[in-house]
Amino acid sequence: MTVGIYVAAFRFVVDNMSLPRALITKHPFGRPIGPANHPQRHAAVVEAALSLASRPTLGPLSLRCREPLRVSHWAHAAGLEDCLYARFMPCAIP
Amino acid sequence: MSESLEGFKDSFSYGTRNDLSFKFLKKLSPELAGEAIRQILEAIGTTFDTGSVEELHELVIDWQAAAYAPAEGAARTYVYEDTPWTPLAKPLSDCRVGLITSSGHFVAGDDPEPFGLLDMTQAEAVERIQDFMKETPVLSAISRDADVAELRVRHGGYDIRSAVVDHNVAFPRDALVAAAKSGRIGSVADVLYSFPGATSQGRLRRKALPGWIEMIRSLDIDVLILVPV
Repeated sequence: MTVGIYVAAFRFVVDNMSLPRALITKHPFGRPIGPANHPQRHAAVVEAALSLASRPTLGPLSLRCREPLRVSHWAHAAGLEDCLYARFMPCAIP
Repeated sequence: MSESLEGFKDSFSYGTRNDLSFKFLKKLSPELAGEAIRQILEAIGTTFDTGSVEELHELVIDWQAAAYAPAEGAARTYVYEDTPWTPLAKPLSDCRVGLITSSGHFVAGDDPEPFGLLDMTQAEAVERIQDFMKETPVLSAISRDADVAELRVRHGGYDIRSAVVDHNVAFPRDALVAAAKSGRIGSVADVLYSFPGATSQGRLRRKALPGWIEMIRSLDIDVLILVPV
């Protein structure tokens, strides 16, 4: 079973290929996990990816790069109660 | 000799001003590239007052994404109508997690030697990007416990400056090891993998992937993290 971590520039690939368990990070090319020497960001990105393994969403999960980290769903996950985003700062789901 | 805006923006993509963080400018029309540059310069000006570069970073990322997004009506490639789906068979805390990235990492002493060349530099890889795009990629095996001083990265398709400073920006080994130590996951695979993603996609699919998939399936990995770079 796979979980993919993609920078925002690769969003269209995720959509084209209908990839399951896709985490989109709003990071620049070449830094999908985050900036250098920022272990907290790296841990948050990896945690978000791992959470997709056990708590999948319909459509990719997006993680923005600004502090505080926020997660938004492009599509609500069926049956999701304690949503992944609750682990980060509260955010508005589009 | 004067230079057109088109020549200027294209020069960042393997041209005279090569900067792989801004090679996306070549994909924009001159009008849009001009607007991107205007917005970026405006955001730089704002940082003098706010002291924050976050909006500037987001602006660059947004333009990068816009540049790579396919044009409306363009033919879509690698389109699949069905989605492979494997449910997780056990708790994540019991799972063995693997990693494969297209970041071009390898271990010193195990250089994949592209084109038979040992110790190819990053500059040489950039110079030969077109040759890489015709090649079948080589998968490098990296011990989970490899000394960070032994990690190397080389990839002609992206700006590796950040990956040279900290492999975790594209090869998140440390975060996975920490997740195992905390009990979030059961364990990290003994061997992690990486290859340079600037490669022939056709050869990747036809020649490389079948063997890689067979190999990875034999490794008793429950969850595989994929990081395309």
